[in-house]
Amino acid sequence: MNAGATRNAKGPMSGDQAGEAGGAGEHGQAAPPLLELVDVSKHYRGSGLWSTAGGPVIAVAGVNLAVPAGSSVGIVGESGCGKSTLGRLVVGLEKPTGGDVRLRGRPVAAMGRRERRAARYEIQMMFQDPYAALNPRMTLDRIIEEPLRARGGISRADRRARVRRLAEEVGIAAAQLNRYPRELSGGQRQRVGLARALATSPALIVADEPVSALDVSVRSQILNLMTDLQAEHHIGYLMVSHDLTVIHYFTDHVIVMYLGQFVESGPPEELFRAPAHHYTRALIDAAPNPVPGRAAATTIRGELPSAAAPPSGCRFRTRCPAAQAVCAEEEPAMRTFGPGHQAACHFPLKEVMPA
Amino acid sequence: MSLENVATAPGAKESALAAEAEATARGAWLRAFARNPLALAGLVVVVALLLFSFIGPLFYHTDQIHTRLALETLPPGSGHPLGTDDVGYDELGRLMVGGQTTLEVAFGAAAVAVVLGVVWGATAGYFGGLLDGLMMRIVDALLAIPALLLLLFLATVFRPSVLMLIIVVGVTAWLVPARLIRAEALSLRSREYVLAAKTMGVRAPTIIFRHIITNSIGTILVNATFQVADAILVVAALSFLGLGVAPPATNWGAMLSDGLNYTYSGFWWLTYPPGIAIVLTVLAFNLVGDGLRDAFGLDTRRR
Amino acid sequence: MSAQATQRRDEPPPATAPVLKVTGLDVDIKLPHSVVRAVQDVSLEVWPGETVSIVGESGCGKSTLGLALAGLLPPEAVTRGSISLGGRELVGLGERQLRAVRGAEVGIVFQDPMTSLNPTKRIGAQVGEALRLQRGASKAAALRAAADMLDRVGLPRPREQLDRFPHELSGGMRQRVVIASALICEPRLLVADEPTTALDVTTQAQILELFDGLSDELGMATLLVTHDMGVVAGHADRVFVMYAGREAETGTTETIFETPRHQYTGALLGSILRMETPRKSRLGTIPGRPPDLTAAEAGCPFAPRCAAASGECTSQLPDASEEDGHRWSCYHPLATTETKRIPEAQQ
Repeated sequence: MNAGATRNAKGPMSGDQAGEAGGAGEHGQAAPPLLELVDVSKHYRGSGLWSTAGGPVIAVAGVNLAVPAGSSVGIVGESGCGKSTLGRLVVGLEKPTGGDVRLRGRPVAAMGRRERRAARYEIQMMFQDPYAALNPRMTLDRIIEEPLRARGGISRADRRARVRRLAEEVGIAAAQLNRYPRELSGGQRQRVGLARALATSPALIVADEPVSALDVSVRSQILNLMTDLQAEHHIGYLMVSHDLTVIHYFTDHVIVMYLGQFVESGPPEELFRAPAHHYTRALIDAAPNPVPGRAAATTIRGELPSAAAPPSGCRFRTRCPAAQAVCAEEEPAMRTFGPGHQAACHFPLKEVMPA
Repeated sequence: MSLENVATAPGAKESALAAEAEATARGAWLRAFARNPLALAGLVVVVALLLFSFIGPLFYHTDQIHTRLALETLPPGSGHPLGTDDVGYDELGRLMVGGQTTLEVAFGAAAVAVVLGVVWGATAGYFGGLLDGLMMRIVDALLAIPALLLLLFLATVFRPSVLMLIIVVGVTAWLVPARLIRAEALSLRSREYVLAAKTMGVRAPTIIFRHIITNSIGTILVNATFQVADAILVVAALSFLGLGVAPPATNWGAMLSDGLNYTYSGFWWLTYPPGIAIVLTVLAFNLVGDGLRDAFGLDTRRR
Repeated sequence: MSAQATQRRDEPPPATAPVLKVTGLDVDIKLPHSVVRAVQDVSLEVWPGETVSIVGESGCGKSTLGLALAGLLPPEAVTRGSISLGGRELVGLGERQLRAVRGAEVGIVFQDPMTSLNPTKRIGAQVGEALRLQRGASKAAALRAAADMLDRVGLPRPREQLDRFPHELSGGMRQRVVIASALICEPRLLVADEPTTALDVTTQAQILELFDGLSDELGMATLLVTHDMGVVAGHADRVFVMYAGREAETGTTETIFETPRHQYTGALLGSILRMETPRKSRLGTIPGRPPDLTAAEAGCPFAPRCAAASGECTSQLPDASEEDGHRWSCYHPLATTETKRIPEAQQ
């Protein structure tokens, strides 16, 4: 098994570039997409004496991704699939062990310190846990102001004005700005998190499970807000979630991850209506559906294998109802099933589109 | 086994972290502290001793500079509520002066220890990896040196003075808060608000102060109070062994040491007052420290 | 008060009495400066073999209710009313008596499998613990029963797992272990508080399937406390909707989902995201926040957030209306024809 080998996956694209293979910039005709991941992988070494058997943990294994400006891309998968690691790689909290992250065509690793700092402000993050995302000892205005202070170059008065404007946009009253996070509800805290992410006018916001920790009725408030902000500021989102319904509703392009690899990608309506990969099918079947009636029997078996010792060939084969001998020998290649719709499977659920 | 967080039910995590935030909320810990009778008693004793030592001499004038051998070792009686010591100083006045030195050194040493230890520990814990390893091995190495020997060595090398005592005691005491705050930093650095600050490009020193240290304030305060108590005992021990400030300055440990020469002579007023003063102060600070620890909920807080 | 609930499966209704009968339950939690009225005047029944889901958002009191039924309330809690388990009254029992009930009559499964198990005890010992304490079984007998139970809950190679420690298992497997230890004494009632929320979606589906199977196999009654309407729809026979510590509505799953009557139920269902929700459309929401349970307000607790609220809603609590086992407390219940249009109505 070739650890870190890139899948033969050409960057999945969304929207207008659907169907065009490869990372943009290849042909030089279109402007490079806002964000690109080229053959990115992330390995963690096992920890010393107690390292997991088999060697390094491969959190992300050679993925390719392009996010055009202003679009919403969703990454869906369960724990251990690497989606959160991917989010952190994009935002710069982690450095890839292989491949590069490119902002508007320029690899981040090649940038000088100053350029990299500026680039950082283009991609900001929204966190999952509203109760841990805000420093409990800071007032709301200081929290929202922090990225502006860090970046510098803006006077105190201007900063205050901007903070007030941002708070208003996300629905936090100016009178509340000198309160502490503990006085707010989960939904309100998430709004503050959004305001903070918007402070430096980023082009892309990585939203890591932005609504999973919120009550159902509050979720819709936050999603509506995120949609409004996107229309107002033309920002893109990279939304990472385990919740299919949120991803289906919110994104233009979906990628399904399993054990560090992309197994399927495509437009949400197509992907969820008629998936090609068995894992996607299993996720759809398992997702609780608020329609009364006995839930469909699960098709997936077994437990998630260790990320340090993934199965040979197709990583999903140990749990797949359709696995055959070849699945253990050969890694499946990404094949196209429709406009922008690709999956890597030897025995997919639908017909491969003729080239 | 998994590398990521799975969602928790809305409201479940809320109660855990909200409880934590509540405990450190402005004023909440003060109120909790105020409800604890032992802690309040400790605080009262501390304040009383501070007043006694620093304000006392304004009301009770005695000559603490000139010795008067004619008046040596008088028992408590008219004019000298606690008698006089072996060179004629009024014992009560001596207790006050001694208290000033003791408390100055104790607070000073605690401050040095806490500042040094917190900065060291927070930096080590935040960065982790090689730097953390290096910094903590230094701490381990220093911990391996018997503190008393180090103190004796330093005390003999340097000219005795209050400042010297503060530095000497502080420099041997910073290791414990360093470890404590490093542990806090280790757990805090993966909090999402710290990650958020990183994504915003906030520089490391700012993160350490604004996010790590401010959220460890409970642990720091509690440790600081115990540092004061420990410093008093260390100074007493040093002075007991003859190292410390030069006369006519004194501290309770030195008074105790001098007084012990006369135990068999029956001059109890030379040993009991300083001894009781030491015990009372240390006890009081420990009670305050315990009370703070309870008020911050540090023992039972879930992480 | 209650008509017998109709079963979803086509079986003759059980002739026996309900396993659990709660009447007029109040739970107050004493805080240093206030009292949280977590549960107010709740009445419900659970019959053998059926799964009743208690559903609501944060702060609605569902977890407190679950704890009360499991006999696990903290000492600051004051309970009034009646909880009758198999005819036996639980309110007012001392700790020792409650301990006899827990494990033997009531099995409990909590949300977080990581913290529900003792990390220093082996699996076999933990699963068999209740059997040894409640039935006085020997160590060997308990281990045998534990292996049996682990097999029943779908743990692969159960005999090998007996000697392992919890950290050696994954989240899904740990939750199965917790379920096994809850069921070892074959209790009549299983109280599960968000049992799958901390698990992956595929694991969640497997565990919920397990619950369904065990419920059928053992004729066990299950009380499923959750916030996830999808889970409710797929696995509950009857639903009990809570808001601000009170019952808002209760009925069979079909009734609640297809013809809700309480405004809150309607708003809640309208704000749920489904696969059918049109992409990028405006989502229905419920404005405002759930009320503070320390303040005692007159009238319906949902009124401040309700689109249909009127004067009487804020002055007096509505009485419950009932129809064929479907019960709701609302002055402006949704008409049955209205419900289909709820998603648009909330926009």
